[in-house]
This record gives sequence, C-alpha cells and structure tokens, in this order.
Amino acid sequence: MRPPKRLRRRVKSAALLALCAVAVLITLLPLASILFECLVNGAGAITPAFFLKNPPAPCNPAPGVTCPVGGIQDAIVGTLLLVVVASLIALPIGILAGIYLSEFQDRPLARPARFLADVMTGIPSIVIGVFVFGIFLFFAQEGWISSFSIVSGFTGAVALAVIMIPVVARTCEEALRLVPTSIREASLALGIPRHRTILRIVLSAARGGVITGALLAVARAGGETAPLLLTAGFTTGAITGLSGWTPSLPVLIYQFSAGGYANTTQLAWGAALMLVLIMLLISVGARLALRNRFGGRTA
Amino acid sequence: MTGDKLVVENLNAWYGKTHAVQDISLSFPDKRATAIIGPSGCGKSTFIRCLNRIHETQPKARAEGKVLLDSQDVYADDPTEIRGKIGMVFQRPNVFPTMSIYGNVAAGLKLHGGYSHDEMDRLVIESLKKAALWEEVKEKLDQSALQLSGGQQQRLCIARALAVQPEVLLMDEPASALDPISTARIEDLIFDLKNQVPVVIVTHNMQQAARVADRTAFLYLGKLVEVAPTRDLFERPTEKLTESYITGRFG
Amino acid sequence: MAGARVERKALSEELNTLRENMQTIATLSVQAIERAVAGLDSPDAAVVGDVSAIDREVYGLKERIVRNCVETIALHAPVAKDLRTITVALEVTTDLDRIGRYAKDIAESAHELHREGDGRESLPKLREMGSLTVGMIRTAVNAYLAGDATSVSHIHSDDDAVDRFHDELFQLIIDGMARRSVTPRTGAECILINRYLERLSDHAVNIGEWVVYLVTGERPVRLPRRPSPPPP
Repeated sequence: MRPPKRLRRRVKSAALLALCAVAVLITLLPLASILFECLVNGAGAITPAFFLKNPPAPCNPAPGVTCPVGGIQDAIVGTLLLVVVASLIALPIGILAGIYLSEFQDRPLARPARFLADVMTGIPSIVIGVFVFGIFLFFAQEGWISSFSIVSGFTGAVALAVIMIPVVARTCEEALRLVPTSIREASLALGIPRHRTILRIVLSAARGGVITGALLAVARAGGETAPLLLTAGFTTGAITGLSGWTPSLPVLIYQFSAGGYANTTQLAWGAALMLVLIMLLISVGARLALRNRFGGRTA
Repeated sequence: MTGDKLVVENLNAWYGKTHAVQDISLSFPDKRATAIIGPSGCGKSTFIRCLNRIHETQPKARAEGKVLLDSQDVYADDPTEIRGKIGMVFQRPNVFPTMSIYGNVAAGLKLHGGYSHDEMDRLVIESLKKAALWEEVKEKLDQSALQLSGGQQQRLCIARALAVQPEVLLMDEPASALDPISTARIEDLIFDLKNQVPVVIVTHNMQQAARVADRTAFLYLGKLVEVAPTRDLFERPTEKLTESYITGRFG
Repeated sequence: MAGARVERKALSEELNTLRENMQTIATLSVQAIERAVAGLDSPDAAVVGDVSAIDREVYGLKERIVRNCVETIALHAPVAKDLRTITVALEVTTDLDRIGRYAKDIAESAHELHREGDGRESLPKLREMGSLTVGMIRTAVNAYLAGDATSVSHIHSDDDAVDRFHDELFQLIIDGMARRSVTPRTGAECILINRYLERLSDHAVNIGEWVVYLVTGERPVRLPRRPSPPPP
C-alpha cells in the first residue's frame, strides 16, 4: 500500500503548488503590464522640459506642423501642493482619531466612530468630491467665501483630506492596538500620566505602523482623480496659489488621454509613468518605515 | 522595630461580576519582604494590582477599600501620583521597545520632568547597580533594550522601577518567565533591596517565597487564609488549608 | 483536572518507606530492651548474643534511615508536617539507636552480675526500675508510631519517678559496697545498670517530646530537673 499513497500525496502537493504559482502569476500580470505599458509609452516623454514647462496647445503632427512638446510642471507642483495641504489637515486629525479609537475603546463614542470610519473608507471618492463641493457651494451661497473659491486647490485638498482621515485613523488605531498592554501598564506603573503614556510611549512604540498608515493614505490621496475633477479643477496655466483652479497629475492624465492629440497624449503617458513611480517609492518608503530604528526588526 | 509602611483594610476588587478579592486586610512592614502565595486564580495578582491602582486601568475593573501608604489613602487622589511612589515589576519583562537601555531606566524620570541631566545620570547608574545590571550594560547604554536576554530585561525593568525612587516595590511573579540562574539573581536582588524599600512579591513558587520573604500571606479564592512569619508558616501552619497547599497536597 | 487531588507521589512513597522503617527500628529497639531487662532475672547466656544481634540490626537501620531522610530533604524540600515528620524521624532514630546500645550494655552487665552471683540485694530493685523504664519506652514509642501526643502527657512525671528510684538505688548500692555485703565488681555492674536505666528513661522522654513537636509544631516546655548525682 505504501508507495502509491506516498506518490499520490506528492502529486497532490505538487499540483497545489503549481496551481498557486499560476494564480500568483495571473495576479501579478495586470501590475506587470501596467508598469510595462507606462514604461514603454511614457519613457519617451521624460525630458528636462517635462519638468520645466507647462502643457502646450493640443495638436496633431501633420506635414508642415511641428507640435510643441511642453511639460507637466504645474501638474506635478499641483499634486504636491494638494497632497501636502491634505496631509496637514488629515494626519493630525486622523492620528488623534486613531488614538481615541485605540486608547479609549470603552467610551460610548468609540464603537460608532469606528463603524463610520470603516464605512467611509468604502465610500466612492466621487461621492466625497460631490459632498465637499456641495459644502463649499453652501459657503459661497452664504457669502462666507467668494464663488470663485468653490473650485480651488483648497477645496481639492479638503476633499483629499476627507478621504485620508478614515484611512489614517484606522491604520493608526490598528498600529496602536498592536502595542501590548504590558507596555502601557509599565508606563502607568512608573507614575507617568496617561496622556504622556499614550503620546510618548505607546505612539512611539507604534510609530512604524503609524508612519506606514500615513504614507499609504498619502499614496491613495495622490492618486485620486474623481474628487479633484469636481473640487480642484484643472488648468494648463500656472498655479495661482490654493485659491485658484489647481492642476494635478491624475486629472491631467484624464484630460489629456481622451483628447486624441499626439503631444498631449504623450504627456499623459509620461504623467502616468511618474504617478506609478511615485506610488512605488511611497510603498518602499512605507516598508522601510516599518523597520525599528535599531535595525532589522519590525516594530 | 519596623512599622507598617503599607496597610490594606477591607479591600474588595471585582472584574465585572467576578469578586476576585474578598475583604482582605493585610499590612506590610517597612524594610521587609512579604510574599503572597496561593493557587492560580486566588486573586493574588489582582490584589497586588490594587495597591498601586493599576487594577482599575482594565475595563470593567473596580476596587473598594482602603490602602494606606504611611497613613495616606492611596485611593483618595489622582492615581498618577501614587503610582510614582509604589513601583511595580511585572511577570514578563516589558521594556519600552523603541528606547535604549538608558532611555528605559530614565523613562520615569524624563516623563516626570524636573530632573537635570546629571541627576538623571546619577539615578540611572545607581538604579542599574541596585538591579545588579550595571556591569553588564555599562558599555552599551545607548543600545536597544531588546537585545538583552530575558533575565537582563527583567532586571532592567527592576532598575526602571527603582529609578523613580519608590517607597514600596511590588513584584508580580517577577521570575516566573525566567531560567533558574536569572531567578536566583533576582532573588538575591530582593534580599538586598528589602533593606531599602519594602517589597511585596506575588509568587506561585512556594519555595521562592520561603527563600525570599520575611512574612508570607496565603490567599485562596480571593480570601486571606493565613499570614505569618515565613519560618512559622512553613514549619507549622495554623490552617489546614495552608498546610494542604504548601505540602503540595491539594484537592 | 478539577477535583483531582494532588498527591505528590514521589514524596508520599518516601514518607511511607520512612514510616515502615521507623516501625521496624522501633519494634527492634523495644525488643532489645525488653530482652535485656528480662535477662536481669534469668542468667541465660544467650541474652547477650541476642541483644547484640538486635543492636547491630538497629544500628544498620538507623544509618539507612538517616541517609534516606537527608535525600528526601534534598529532593523534595518538604515543609510543615512533612518537614517535622522527617526531622523528628532523624531525632527519634538516634534515640532508638541509643536504646539498642544501652540494651546491649545492660545485657552484658547483667551477665557479669550473674557470674559474680551476689546481686541478690539490688536485683529486685533493678528489675522494678527496669520494668518502669521499659513501660516508659513502650509508651513513648507507641505514641510516636501512632502520632498521638496525648498518651505521653505524663512522661515527665514518670521520668521523675525513675530518677528518684535511681537516686535511692544508687545510695543502696554504695551502702552495700561500704558494708562489704557485695563485691566491688557486683557493685560496679549494678551502678552501671542503674545508670543505663536512668539514661534510657531520658531517651523515652526525648521521644515523647518529639512526638508532641511532630503533632503540634511546638516544643513542649521542659520542667526543671532535680540535680543528679555525678556520673560514674
């Protein structure tokens, strides 16, 4: 009886392994193909001018017509601006919310808050865009802001912040929860007051997870297109601070890829490549942040 | 003659509905080590955690009664202040993972505020010496606390607790996670420490209580069964229950 | 798991073995002294041999018991009653060994006495004292084996009676030697037997006191003793 049983087991193991490997490959296929397409199509756009000039008038190459190449400078700056302002709003609020959810679990507000945060991470970003737009519209109707400011960099940043906050809050909460209770007890037992225990000891112990959560939220915000369409607008001109229409990479890609004009399409591919590379950089950064500063171990 | 440093009167404690500590009155003399022994679940950990008010940090935990440190009721005011006066060492070493060895020992001082650099250095060195750890770590004070062995980490926790100069030291099964040599080191430590600070040690290892404590209290199902000088308790206990437990014939 | 009684089997077994050994050595020691005291009556030459044999056995058993007790302490770190059981066994086994030795000495002295042939004056008194002493030893040993502290409550007064007997007899023998109604040899052997019996009763008291400690954990209060005449 023995040889057939052993052989059967081995065959089954090998078959399962093969199946899993194929599944993994299929999973990686879209990612690989995206990277490939972006590289192939977008690499050509990456020139010094790409970073220094603004988008040109759309045109198609024709005999006797040389299309200007242009660049996406302000779109890059715009994305940075939007993300930075959104982070300045969302990170403090999100981290404090995460602290509340983790450290004050027994308060009555905690369970509903957690539930709402989870719901919010699932709300389509276009809906959030509409919501924020609606609020600023209301402000303008009340006369608190000028109607020119409804669609602006600031509005876009607020929309991104609203998307980021629940993500930051939940990842921060999870990171804090991973810190063992014994650490908190050790700190309290030394006579360290609770607020210092949370801010200086627990948060510090969880900082790898918190930073990762923040970076992932930033990455998500940087890639959102739909809300920015409504709230930040788009322009091929120069940025005029946060109060005007602010271009961004995702919106640029949207605007230029459907145009059908060769030069702007090329810029769109270049922008897509940039966006993908930035996302990759942030993911790598998040992984590095998980390492304990004393080297090697994850926090 | 040593007076009583810590006096417990009619202490009751609950976890939700469970009445874990039932009307215990006990006193702890100064400059002595007192051991609290008893089978698992007898409430000894809960009891000791009520003394520095760590018990109440757990959800649904409640305590009633009087705990007097030098005649001042520990439950009267803000717990933070009293926790600075009653130190605690836990069952498993719980060093702060993101801090260096120096940082760990100084944590209580730094986050309390009001100490100069020199004072902190002095207290850190003194505490590490009292915890018999100085020689082993003096060359690597700024390295991570996590690279120390289990026994060393526990001694680090002891140093950390001592740095804030507590008036009483509580130890909740401090050696139960350690190997015999580390355990023996910690027992020697307690032997020296008790002359400076009264020590209350919870242990499930009776032999440890016998080796280390001047007085031993036996708890069973939340109640205090017997308390006596250790020599007397282990030679001729008064209660049958105590005799059953310490001779290991429990049923 | 709940409700199952913990027995500490290894230690229990050692304590059982100890109890059996103590039973044996106690029985042997009592046998030895009974034989020796009975030998005060009859000039049976076999008495010395018999008692010596028992004494040797007692000694060997004592050595074994002591070794086992030390090992048990090393291995099991006994406390409370277990600890008292072992320490009392160590003490009592010494007393029993001494009882065996004195029994042999009495048998030898009695043999000499019978050879001399003129112990008529002292022998009845010695026999009386002997049976008192044997009674005390039996009481103490039985109390020990039964773990009963109450039956030894009068052991100190019994000992006082034996002491008084000893003093009277001592004087009697001295007077006899002075009057030359007994030979020096006879007188000497009688004094020795007198002394052995008195010492034996002390050992019985020791055993009694250890029984009290075993049961209560307290050492009994010793009454002040009357001064004894100087040893031979």
